[in-house]
Amino acid sequence: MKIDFIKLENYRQYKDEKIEFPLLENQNLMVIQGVNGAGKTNLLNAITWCLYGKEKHLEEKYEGFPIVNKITLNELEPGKKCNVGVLIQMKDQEGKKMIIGRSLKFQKLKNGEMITARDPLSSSSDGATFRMIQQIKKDMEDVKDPEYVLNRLIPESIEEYFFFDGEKLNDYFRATSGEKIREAVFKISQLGLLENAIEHLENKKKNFVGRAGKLGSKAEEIREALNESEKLLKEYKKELNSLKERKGEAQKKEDEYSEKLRTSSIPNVRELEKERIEIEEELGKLEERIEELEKEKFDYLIKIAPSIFAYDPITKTKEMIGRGKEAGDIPPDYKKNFLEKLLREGECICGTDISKENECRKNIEKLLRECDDISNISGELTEGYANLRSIIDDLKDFREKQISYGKRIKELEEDRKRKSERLKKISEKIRGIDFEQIKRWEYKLTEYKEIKNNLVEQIAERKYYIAQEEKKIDKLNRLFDEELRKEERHKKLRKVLVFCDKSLYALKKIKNEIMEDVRKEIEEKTKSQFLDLIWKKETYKDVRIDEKYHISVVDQYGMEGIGTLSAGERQALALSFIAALNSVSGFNVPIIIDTPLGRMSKEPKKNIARNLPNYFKGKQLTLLVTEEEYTPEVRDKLSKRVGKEYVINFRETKKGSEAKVVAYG
Amino acid sequence: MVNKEPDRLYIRKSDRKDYDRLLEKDSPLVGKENKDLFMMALITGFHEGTRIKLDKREGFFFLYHLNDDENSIIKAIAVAEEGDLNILLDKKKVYSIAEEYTAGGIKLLRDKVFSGEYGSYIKKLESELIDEFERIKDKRGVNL
Repeated sequence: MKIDFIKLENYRQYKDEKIEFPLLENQNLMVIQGVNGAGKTNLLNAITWCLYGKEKHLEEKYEGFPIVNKITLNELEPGKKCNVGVLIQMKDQEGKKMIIGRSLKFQKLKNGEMITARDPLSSSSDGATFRMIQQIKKDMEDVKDPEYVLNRLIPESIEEYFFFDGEKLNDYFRATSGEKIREAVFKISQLGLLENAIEHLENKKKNFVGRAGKLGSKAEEIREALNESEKLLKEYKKELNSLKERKGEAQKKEDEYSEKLRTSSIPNVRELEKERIEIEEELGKLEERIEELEKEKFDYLIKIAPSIFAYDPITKTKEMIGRGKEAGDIPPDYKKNFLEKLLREGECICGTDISKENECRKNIEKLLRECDDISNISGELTEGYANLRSIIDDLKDFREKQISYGKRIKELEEDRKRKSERLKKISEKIRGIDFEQIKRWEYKLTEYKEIKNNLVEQIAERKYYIAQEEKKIDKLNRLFDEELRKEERHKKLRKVLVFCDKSLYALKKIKNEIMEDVRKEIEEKTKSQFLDLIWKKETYKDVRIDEKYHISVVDQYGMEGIGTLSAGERQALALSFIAALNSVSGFNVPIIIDTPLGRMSKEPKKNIARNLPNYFKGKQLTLLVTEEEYTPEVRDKLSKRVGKEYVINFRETKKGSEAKVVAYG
Repeated sequence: MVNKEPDRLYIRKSDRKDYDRLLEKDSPLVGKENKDLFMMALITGFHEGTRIKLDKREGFFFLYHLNDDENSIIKAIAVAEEGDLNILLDKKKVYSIAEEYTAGGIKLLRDKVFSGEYGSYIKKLESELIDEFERIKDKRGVNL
């Protein structure tokens, strides 16, 4: 799927624009250059508004302002209406067209105020008209259920992996990002389909149980309890999803305000925010290390506990075996069962016949009388003696190890305390800066951090309730099954329920396996692209995405090196990850990246520019860049792949601002 | 005669819920293996001197899961209990002594683990181990 063109009418700074996209297979890269504020990000917003009715990348300065172009708004006569619209024409692989358009009418009142003139047929909350037309053979026809069709082509839940701000990619490597990445992998693997199947089957099972007719009193009791628990579980899950969504929103807001501070015009604020980001990352790692060390310590205590509490029997047994050894009984000269075998078989190891009564047989019988049963386990005793000695030896440094664990944990905890205090100081310092906007951003940042932390606690609580309820349901299901077994008339129902359970088990297993396969594939692709992209090839050896979806980079010495990545290397890692997500997603959607090379110095910029189109091979790629990003060197590296190249000419007038997208150069 | 080793170790059927409880999410022993719980319950029962015969029993884990140290400790407890190395000839008896101490210890272990707030068991265990270790050291000298 490629974009053929986009038409913008009265949309923010775009009064009347048509931007044509490149369609050639080997030149499907488009570059739009513009200064900050010219309207690059609003091109992303125009796309998401057209597709989903939401401006997903809206900057703060535009919040609360109507989307209608200000010049049009000022020129409009009172009582008259104007149209705001975005139209995207796309073409699929066979060249068939698909047109998606959204428009919204505004009316200027006599007092100059602007109101929305709702489309009476509109189903969206803002009253906009949304249409989708697709080519069927040679004719163009209306798509009957446009939202549904669009969601299958470019699902809203994963649009951020196709249309994104390059500067915000860094968020993937925050300490708290594991959950975010897990969600990304989940969404992109389209596992929602399997989730739906699981939910459907669970509902079906519930219906079968509900329709089972009259049951025995105990089974009836269990059925009621099951119903209640399932209802509760559904509620908890719903609450959990909503909490996760809210947490995601709070995180997004937190990131936004952090970004504002990090790029603010006051150098001191920029430095403080950078320091805070670093400390927060370090704190995340510290928390993990403390947790690991505490677990390591507990495992050690659990391992050593039997040796300490059973010390007396250990030493007693060791001494008893030791005495046997000293007395020469362990190991014995002969094992009792060995002598018995010789007598049974009637032949000595030297070949002498002892099958009949003779001197040799008598000697062996004498030895047998002197031999204890315990001689048969002499090997086990010798081995046991060595084991017991080693257990006692291992105990010698118990206190040393226990103290060392305590010391290491304490040191890390103190470091955590220092870092937390420093974070408080940073916040105080930023708030103390005599600049209203900076203060407001800091308050907002703190507010969203608190909201997020609160939500994290609530999520953990809900997860616990869900686990408890699931366990209860499991138990009730088993009891219900036992009750059904008792009556022959429920044989058929039992069969159906067993089938449902087996299918549910299989579906859940498949879901987990796919998730794991996708994780490994993304890990592999991220690694190969990252190692291909970085300029200091010998520095890093591996990229890992672990089971908790934490991304880590391993350096040449085998150490975790994400903290040592430069801003450019981080950007390269993030782009590699997004490209990997894209490649395994199976969605054939154009990619649009705002500020892809923003954080990089000269060399990395050139290197990424050269490799970027290879990452998104086969996909139409649009880069929205500033002049600083699109240097002559970068332009040179990209030139062979560029199919269209534009500049945004931006002008500010008394009536408002206007942006024109014109050919480069 | 040496009798054959059992292939698995047993717990009391009625104790199963206590083991399950110890493996729940809010327990510090979450993620531990059955043999770890068995060893912890065993030494708790042994330390407190509580031994309970298994009436109705069920298999808990296979013997091959035990490592050499754990096996040696189980045998040492049996030897100390009977005061005779010959007990090691009767493998069934050796492991049934362990099972009986485990049955005697599991409820105490559960109470210890859940009697305080989360994390308190770890501290409690650590301090009990230090006390016991110091007692041994006093008795046996610095080099144990």
